[in-house]
Formats: sequence, C-alpha cells, structure tokens
Amino acid sequence: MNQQVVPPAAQPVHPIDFEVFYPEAWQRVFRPLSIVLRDHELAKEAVDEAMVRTYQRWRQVRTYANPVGWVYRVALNYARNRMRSRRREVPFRISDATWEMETPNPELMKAVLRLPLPQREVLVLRYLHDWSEHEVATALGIPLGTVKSRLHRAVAALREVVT
Amino acid sequence: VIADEMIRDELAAAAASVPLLAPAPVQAVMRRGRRRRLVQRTALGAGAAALLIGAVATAAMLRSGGDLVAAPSTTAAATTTEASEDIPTTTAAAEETSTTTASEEPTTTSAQGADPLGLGIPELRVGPALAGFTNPPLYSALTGPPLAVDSTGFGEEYPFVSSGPSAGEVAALTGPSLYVGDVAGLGVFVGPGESGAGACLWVGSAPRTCDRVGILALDDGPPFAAWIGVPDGTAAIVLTRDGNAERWQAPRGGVAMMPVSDVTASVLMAVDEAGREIDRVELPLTTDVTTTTIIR
Repeated sequence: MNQQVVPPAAQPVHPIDFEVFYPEAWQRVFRPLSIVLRDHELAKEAVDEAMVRTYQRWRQVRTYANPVGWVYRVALNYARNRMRSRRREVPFRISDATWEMETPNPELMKAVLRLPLPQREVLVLRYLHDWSEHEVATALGIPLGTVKSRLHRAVAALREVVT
Repeated sequence: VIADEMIRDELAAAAASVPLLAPAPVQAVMRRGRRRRLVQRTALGAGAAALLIGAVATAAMLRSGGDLVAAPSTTAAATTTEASEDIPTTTAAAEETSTTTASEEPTTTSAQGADPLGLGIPELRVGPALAGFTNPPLYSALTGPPLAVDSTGFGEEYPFVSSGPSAGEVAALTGPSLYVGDVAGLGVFVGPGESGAGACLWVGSAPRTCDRVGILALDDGPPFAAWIGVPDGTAAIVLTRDGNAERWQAPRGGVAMMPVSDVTASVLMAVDEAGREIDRVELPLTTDVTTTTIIR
C-alpha cells in the first residue's frame, strides 16, 4: 500500500534545526523530483546531495522564505548535470529507471511524462506542491512570465490528450 | 475539458506510487557537510595563497622591468591550477545566487563536489582526474610532505611504483576511484566496494580489504598491511617489529601498503616530515586502533 502524499504547501516547514527540517523536507522534494526526472534512484541521489549542500549553508538557507524550494532547485540542478554526464557516457535509457505508476488516468500521466522537462517541472511544482506561480518562479530561479508560459503550454498539451 | 483538479489528482496518485526510499541518516548528511566545509576552507586558503604568490611575482617582475609573460607569472599560474585540482571545490554557489536568470538551463557546469570519490575519507589525497579513464572516473594520487630527515633508521624503503593503471584492472572498479600506484606488480586503487558502497582497497582487480587499516593477502607471498587515509601531514609510514624499524613507505594519495613479516608483533607508525610520530596502529588489529577509525 502506497503512502498518501500530503500536499506540501498545506504544511509549511518553519525550520529551526536541520535535524527537524531534514526528514520532512527530504520526502517533500524526493517525490515530486522522482516524477519530474522519471527516475527515483537519480532523484534520491540528487536530494541526498542537495541536503548535504543545504547543511553546509544551513544558517543562510533557514532564513529563506521557502527553504524546501531551495533544496528542490539544488537537487534539480544536480540531477540535470548528472543526466548530461550520463548521456555523454552511455545513451540514457528512461525505461530502466521508471517504475509502475498507478494513476486514475494513465493516458494523462503518459502525456505528463512526455512533456519537456522544463514544462514538467513547472507543472509538478504548481499542481503537486500547490505552489503559486510566483513560488515556482522563485524555486526554479526563472522569471514569472516563463513559469506562466510553460504552464500554459503544458496544460495545452495535456488538453489535447484528454480531448 | 481538463480541470486543474484532474491534473492534481493524477500527480498525487503518481507521487503516491513513487517507491518509498528512506533518506540517509541525518547524522551522515551533517558529517558529510562538515567535511566539505573543512575541505572548501582549505581549498580557499590554498587558492588565496597561490593568488598572493602570483601577485607578488608579478609585482616583482614589474618592478624589475621584466616581461609579464615571463617565467614567474607562468609559475604562479601553475601553482594556482595545482592547488585547485588538489582539492576540487563545489559550484553550488551558482545555484544559490542565480535566482533571476531567464535561462532554461542552470548556470552550473559541474556536479563535481569537494569529495570526487564520495567515499567519505577526507584524508585521501586526491589529485586531478586521469585522462582516458571516465568509466569509472579515475583520479591520480598526491604525495604527502617529503621526509626531511635521514631515513636510514627506518629500514628499507618499500615504495609504490607508478607504472600507470591497467585498463583490465580499472574495468573491475565499481565507481570513482583513486589510483595509488603499483605494488608487487598489481595496481592499487581505493574505490567503492563490489556493491558500489563503502570504501575498499582494490589490488589487481579485486577488493582486498575494506577496513581503514587492515591486513590483506595476495595470491602468494607475505601478507600486506594497508592503511587507507593516513593522517594529514604524514611523510612516511614506518613498520616496526618488536620495536625495531623494518621498512618504510611514503604514502601516496594518503594510502600506505607494505608487506608484513610478522603480523602478530608489528606496529605501523605514521611520522611527519621531521620523523615525529603522529599516529600508530598495532597489529594484529584486535585492539583499539588509537586515533584511527575502522570503517567496517
């Protein structure tokens, strides 16, 4: 039985100690990142690495408005770099890294996974994390307009599948 | 028509089906973070020192009316490169600061951290990556400070030979590794164990010991004592038997490995460049290993 995911934005973290922040933030970053990357092993590696970097800068990161967003971004950057180096070494085979997703509308999920990475990461943060467009922009380090346009294109692509 | 709720439900279900993986223990994460901070501070110090040397050299050249492209500047540049390659630094700072970039891709160019091997042994002295070895990446070994005293009293020297790693041996490694040198005609490496985890000493194409200090046996010949991650500042490891020095070795990459004639009454001593004892390990390894931590 899979564990139910709690919408992260409903439970904001107010970190005091890294030990308190770490376990909850890890899960909150790991699951969405697994979907964005379509590779939970890489997601785990990336979140582990991001957490080490977070600890290195904890005194600063804890003051951010959204420290989880910062962790997410560092993990995503790390994963992107790893994917690039993997492609240089061997052709990256997505099929090896995915897992069986059980969702109400498999066709819709397939369409989500087919979205380009930049659109998928915006979609996942907006709908799974339930972050505002502004929060997504801050977390990903991109302009608000870029978030809006990516989101618009992503939803439009999904609409084509559903209709 | 696709509704927001539909996308939310779909993503929530997908997230719920993500395999449950446990994060690493928080203490382990904090330990890694602390080590990196220490290494980065050291690297920054080395970089600053190299820059200072470069600036002084350039100023001296200008004062003497020399050509700026002359030797002192080149030397300074080489010093800087060596220092930065000695202890690579992370590029995470770019991830922190580029909050308003409009680029689709992040500005970071490398995922290389301060611990390229990822083995959690900061005492390893890891040099630049060796060209031609990318799968897995292989790093060169740096030597420690040279011994500044007469080594006659330490017995015979048992040095590592640097003949270059053999492709066959490298192919057996399971992750980023350090090429230490050759002993008894076999390549010596430090890298992850066969499962891809831990830290082991590979000799030839097999992991022989995964202890920080251990006794290992090769196919024939005497047993060897190996010390992975000798203390910082170690110039030599001296093997003594019943209080008498038998042989010594200058560690490479923070690793020492030498044959032991009697594993029941021997001591490995780490000494600094002045020949002063820094640390010691008594063999056999059944008692506490003074200040050294056993990995497994």
